[in-house]
Amino acid sequence: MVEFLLPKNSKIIAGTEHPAPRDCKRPRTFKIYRFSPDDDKNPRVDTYTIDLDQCGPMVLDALIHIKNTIDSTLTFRRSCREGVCGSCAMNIDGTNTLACTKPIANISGPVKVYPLPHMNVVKDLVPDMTEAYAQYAVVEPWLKSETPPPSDRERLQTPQDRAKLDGLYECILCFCCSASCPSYWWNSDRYLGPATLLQAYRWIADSRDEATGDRLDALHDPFRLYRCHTIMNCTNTCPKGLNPAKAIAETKKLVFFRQE
Amino acid sequence: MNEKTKSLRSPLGAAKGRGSAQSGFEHWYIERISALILLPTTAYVLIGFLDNVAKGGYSGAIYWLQSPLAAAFAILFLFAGLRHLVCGLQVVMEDYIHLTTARLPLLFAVKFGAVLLAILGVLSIAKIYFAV
Ligand code: SF4
Ligand code: SF4
Ligand code: FES
Repeated sequence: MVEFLLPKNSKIIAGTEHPAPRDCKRPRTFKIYRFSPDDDKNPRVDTYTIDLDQCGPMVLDALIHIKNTIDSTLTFRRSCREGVCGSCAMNIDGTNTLACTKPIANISGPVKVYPLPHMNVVKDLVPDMTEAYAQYAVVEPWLKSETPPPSDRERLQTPQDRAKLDGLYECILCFCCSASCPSYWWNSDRYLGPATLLQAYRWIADSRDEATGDRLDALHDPFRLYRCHTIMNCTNTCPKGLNPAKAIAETKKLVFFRQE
Repeated sequence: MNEKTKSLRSPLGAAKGRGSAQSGFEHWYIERISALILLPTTAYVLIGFLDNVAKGGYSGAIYWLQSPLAAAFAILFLFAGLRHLVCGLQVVMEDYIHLTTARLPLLFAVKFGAVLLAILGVLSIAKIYFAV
């Protein structure tokens, strides 16, 4: 059955308070989820009040500032700090998004920072993506073609066909969408989830790919594809402004039209 | 996950599972078609029934159900409604009951109940229609 309550060892307890530094000009409070696999303690929420004059404008800047100046044990992923690598996906102010592109100024009240929901936590804000990446591998996300490429150039595509990949190729695989999808929460072992389904459709929609039928075969499953009930959380949360729900609907449409 | 119960299967092996079932479209399609059929039939049955009850009470309703069109619409309404109900309940069960051995008997019970209701409904409508 679905678990509506957190297991006992996942219940969140009160954490440490780190007060504002002396002569703080623009105080701002961050409430950050902490969990360490190295002890038997429950996860907790630590409170840090920092001076915004001392750090950059984004939530990631604040996290880095806290790690550098207050608490070096705070653990999170980041790399590009400009919204292209997908590493810093987390739940900020109740929404899955990228810490590096989320302005602190857009949030009112204390800034609540949690890991992506409904994923196993490795440490603090770092979720275990193993399952999600394995599902991504299931859709074989690469160009498949029996026809060899022209000997003197790359495979060609008309500008119209290329345009069909707009809104798909921009996906950075941050999994904000999958971690926001109730269907994925309840059945992540069998439902592929919006991120992987958008990627699957990215190859289905590619005019150079010759495996469309095999790809649709692989998705045609009550759990892999049809667990999507068009709840649209995915589209609402995508920090890149993409529309996984539409990609899924297009996939269902193709399955429909090859039967009818 | 508990260390002791953690499977040693590779993540890719687990994600691939038993492959794709090559089904799901039918269920999705029937759910939508039955909803489409429900739109006009619900309106027709509801309006016709209430209108005739208002006009002639119990005998008004009986009289109404003896017209072929009303009886046909009532049966269609019954079938589409029950089919849609079964589809919807199946989705809810698949979403929330993860143990297949727990889900299947429940699903069977729902389907059994729906078929029983359909037969009962058709017999009742036929009984009024032929006024035995
Ligand atoms: S539209 Fe589909 S994939 Fe997106 S949140 Fe809803 S159920 Fe999940
Ligand atoms: S669709 Fe958007 S939210 Fe989902 S993985 Fe891609 S970029 Fe992230
Ligand atoms: S650090 Fe790369 S997306 Fe945020």
